[in-house]
Amino acid sequence: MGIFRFGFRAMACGCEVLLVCTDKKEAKAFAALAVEEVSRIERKYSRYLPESIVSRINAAAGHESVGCDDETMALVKYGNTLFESSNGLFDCTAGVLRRGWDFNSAVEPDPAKLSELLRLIGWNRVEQDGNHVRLPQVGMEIDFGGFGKEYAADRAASILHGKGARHGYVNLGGDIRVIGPKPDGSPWTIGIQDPRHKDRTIASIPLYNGALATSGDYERYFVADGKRYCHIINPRTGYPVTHWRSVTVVAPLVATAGSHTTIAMLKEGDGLAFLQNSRLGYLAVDQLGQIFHKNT
Amino acid sequence: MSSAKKTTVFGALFVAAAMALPSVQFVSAKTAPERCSVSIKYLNYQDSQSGDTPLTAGMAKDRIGVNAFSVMGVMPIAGKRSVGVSLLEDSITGASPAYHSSGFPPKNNIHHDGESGASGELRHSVDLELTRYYPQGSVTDGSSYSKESDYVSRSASLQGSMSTEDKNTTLTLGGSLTADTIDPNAMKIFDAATNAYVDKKQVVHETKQVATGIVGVTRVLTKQDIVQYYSEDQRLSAFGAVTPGLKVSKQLNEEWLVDLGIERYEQRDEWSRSGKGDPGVATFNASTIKAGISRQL
Repeated sequence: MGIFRFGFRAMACGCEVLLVCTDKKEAKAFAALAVEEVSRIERKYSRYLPESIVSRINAAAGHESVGCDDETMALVKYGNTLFESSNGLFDCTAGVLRRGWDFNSAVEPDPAKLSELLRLIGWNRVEQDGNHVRLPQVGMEIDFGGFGKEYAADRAASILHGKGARHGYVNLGGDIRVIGPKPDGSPWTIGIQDPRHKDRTIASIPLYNGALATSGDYERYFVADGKRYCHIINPRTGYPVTHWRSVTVVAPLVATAGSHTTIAMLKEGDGLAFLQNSRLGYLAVDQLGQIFHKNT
Repeated sequence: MSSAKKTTVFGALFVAAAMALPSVQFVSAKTAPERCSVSIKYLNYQDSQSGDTPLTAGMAKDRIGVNAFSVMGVMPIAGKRSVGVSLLEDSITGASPAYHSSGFPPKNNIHHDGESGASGELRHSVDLELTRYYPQGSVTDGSSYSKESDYVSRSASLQGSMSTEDKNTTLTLGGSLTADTIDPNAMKIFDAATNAYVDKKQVVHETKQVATGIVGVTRVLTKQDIVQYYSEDQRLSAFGAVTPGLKVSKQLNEEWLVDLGIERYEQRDEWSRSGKGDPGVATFNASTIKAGISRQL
């Protein structure tokens, strides 16, 4: 019995599968299943691959509806729940703001450009008819990137568990789904990065089961005129959020944890009340470095 | 709706929505609980007999009704074990065990005094369970103590469960030993010869030992619904009885679980496994409905 770790790259981030198995061969076979599933989801929902279902829906914007399979419709419905329950803050059509915010050039975009893009945002305008989805306006886009990585981590862990894996976890860029605790029943310890010091941690969280996800303003950002602009952007204002440095949530599923972290970031100052009322465990760091947390 | 209230509802809704995503939730038929839980359960039991034998002629057909409330708490210990304690109070109306323990009236001219045997009665019981969890199953040691006015019951049980590789099907095997002490309440009977009520001589401090077994299969249907099929109860089959039952439990969200169970018990002389049941017992039916709600803390 040993602990085996397999690192791979997917969904534009570093990923790993950590498993306790009798030998490396068994662990490799399990890891291959996880990698295969993550790759499948990435191919199917990538907005960069023209043959993906997301690209086909986006290409048909303003024109015809596109027939979708059950899995895609399940994601669309999850998008509905996120949108309705967050009062429109979690909007899967907000990806168009990428056209305004170029994190490589590190320049704040022209407000006129942002207003133009904001007119293309509105998940409530996405037409859903049975298994068909249609974007009503040319230029609109849907994007499941807001929870695709979390969904993939849940799916991969679920497949490994279904094949008999009992101890280990799947980690996709910090979105972690535990398959089961260590063989002696003890938890995996997950270190939470200090949002301002990459080589430091601010907490360690024991996880027996369930999942953990973190959103932060340190993942992708630029600083201009002393102001930090991160990649989490409010779909109403078109500007990045500023209140939280990072939010970590522990939940039964990564999809649940990840959506909570994103919405807490989007809610800015109201994010803490949202986290407190979610009944989930969380650890949040505000712009002054103050830590707020609740254990599960 | 206040914003605090709204986010609470959202949290619950959100967990359920994420669980509805295709196969992101793997199920474990029985794993060590991670959090404390408290359950409140209600049980209604009613039995009746559909015919008469010479010994039961003239007796009421609706015999025993039970309404029971119980409170149960489960606490995890060190990730691999859990301890559960339940307290139960039930009220019994109709022909209570006090009546049955005295035997059926031997002659039609001696009538049972309805006041003593058919009155309502309170029973209290406490159960303690220790469960050890393994990767493919669990083992539970249980003990219980129950007391009513004329009946004390002590029981010890051992139950094991094993799950298939995908954890969707669980086989349960178990057994229990029960030692009961019966001190029947004083009973007045009407003696037609003297035309008066007299104290019936009771067998005092009777004891009873019962060994029971259970075989069960649980199958997970969907991510949030579990159905259990009960096999026949070995104890009851000796008397020519079968107990088909169905239990459905539904996880409403991360914290709340509701369950509903229905059991129908029927005993017939001709079903007796030995081919010779108790000829004095008429065809007998009983229905049990259980409803419960649990919350994780």
